[in-house]
Amino acid sequence: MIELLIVGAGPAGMSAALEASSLGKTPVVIDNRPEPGGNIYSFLGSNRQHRSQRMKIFGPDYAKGAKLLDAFVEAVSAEKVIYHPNTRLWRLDQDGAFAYDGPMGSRAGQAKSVVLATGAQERPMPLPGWTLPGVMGVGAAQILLKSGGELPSGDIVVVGSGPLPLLLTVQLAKAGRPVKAVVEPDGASALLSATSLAHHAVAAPKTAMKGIMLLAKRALRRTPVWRKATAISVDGDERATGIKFRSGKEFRIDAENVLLHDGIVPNLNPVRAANLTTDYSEQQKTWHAQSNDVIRLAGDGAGILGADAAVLSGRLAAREICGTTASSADLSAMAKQRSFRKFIDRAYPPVCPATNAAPDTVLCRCEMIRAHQVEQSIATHGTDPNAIKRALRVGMGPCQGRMCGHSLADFVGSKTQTTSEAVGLPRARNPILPVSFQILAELD
Amino acid sequence: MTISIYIDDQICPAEEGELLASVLLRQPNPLFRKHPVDGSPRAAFCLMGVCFECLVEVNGVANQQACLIKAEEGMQVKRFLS
Repeated sequence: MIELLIVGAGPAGMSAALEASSLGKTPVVIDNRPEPGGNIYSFLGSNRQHRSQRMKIFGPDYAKGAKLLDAFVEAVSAEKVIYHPNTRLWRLDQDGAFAYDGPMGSRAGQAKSVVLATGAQERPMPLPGWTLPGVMGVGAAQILLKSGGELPSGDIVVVGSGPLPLLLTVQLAKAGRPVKAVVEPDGASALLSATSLAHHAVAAPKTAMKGIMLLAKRALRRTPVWRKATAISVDGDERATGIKFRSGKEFRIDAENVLLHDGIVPNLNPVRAANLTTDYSEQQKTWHAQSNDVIRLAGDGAGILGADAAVLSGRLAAREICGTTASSADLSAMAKQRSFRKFIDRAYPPVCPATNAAPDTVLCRCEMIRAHQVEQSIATHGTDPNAIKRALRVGMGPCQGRMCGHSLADFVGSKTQTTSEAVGLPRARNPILPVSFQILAELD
Repeated sequence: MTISIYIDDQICPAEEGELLASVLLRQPNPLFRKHPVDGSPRAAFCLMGVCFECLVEVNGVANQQACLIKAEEGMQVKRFLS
């Protein structure tokens, strides 16, 4: 029996571990990455030690994770927190039964309490040609840079809008790889209409608004932007060679690197496998999960609120588990983060391009299922995502629907004049990651 | 510090501690595999362990996510390119 299992060593997981440790527990933290930090603070530890020039590229929003990271690393070396990197949770039940594997071996057991801090992923953005090498996520490109890598040679085009594409555009310019063009899909930015929201909320959104305007100004000073783009597709045979779109008239831009972004969504596979209740958020066009008596969600895995909120919610989750009341400062800071997020969500609504995917668009990358196949399947199987999944194998490849679940709901919803919420996601079952027989054989 | 890994039996320099996916993306042909369903060319896409596009063989173990593994001295990497 593990008293407290924390899944994920991003801001929420690290914060939960430190709080639980300060309240007398010795949590076990497992994380699938080789270093703590999650997505936002990925490789912060090794960059500070070995690649100080990279720190300049990522700026203060990245560097500010150092305090939390240092405290976590210190707690681990003092054995106040047990930390297993490169370790994958592949089973979670609603009562806290779990299984994971990693360099320390393969283990199954029971946790008295679980903090699920498994974070978020970029919302899949299915466009014709998006499976070509050279196409990747904006967040993916940022992690690549943080990890010490570079984008392959050639021109870079960003497709999307919002704080992350703007930030990456600034960071790539600093890294000596300026972005050739930014293409904003139609409906991706409502920054101007969101200003009406600013006076509804407390102070945070005003500073947020100012920050984003400044960022946009810096990012787009030398970068051409095409707005209200439709019919976006990526060209290429063996790899991406360019991007086509309509914005008034037809355009084509040569580019070997096409970076996509349509916001981020929670990592829903573990919460669904554990049968936690999920509710559709119209504001974020995704599902938000609720904690149960054993499993508590923290960070973006419970709904997208960002890194600062993740630190707060990690602390709140740990306190709840330890039977300690939340501090009122944390609760009010959390409320402020929520109103801040409302503003961002309103300013940059997800485009969900699957809603009007062209027939040839690949919706499921693992099984190579295209939009027209799903449309045909609706005629026979109706809108039940489980029936469509069984018929087509959509969502049954190694990613287990992580790259197509939202798209399937959006596409089926729009084809049948219903909503993504009404269509829903197909069932997610354990194991939530591919598991080899060797891992099963090594279970102790 | 520079280390050496083997990609499809070819010796190849890498920086110690960087992601295997970063090393593969730096190659003249930044491909990871041919898709098992239709043979289409693929490369790392999400860099956060979600999409399973960066699967390669590492030290004899098939289907490893190159975006979650650090390059190590002498690592034997095989891409699924045929």
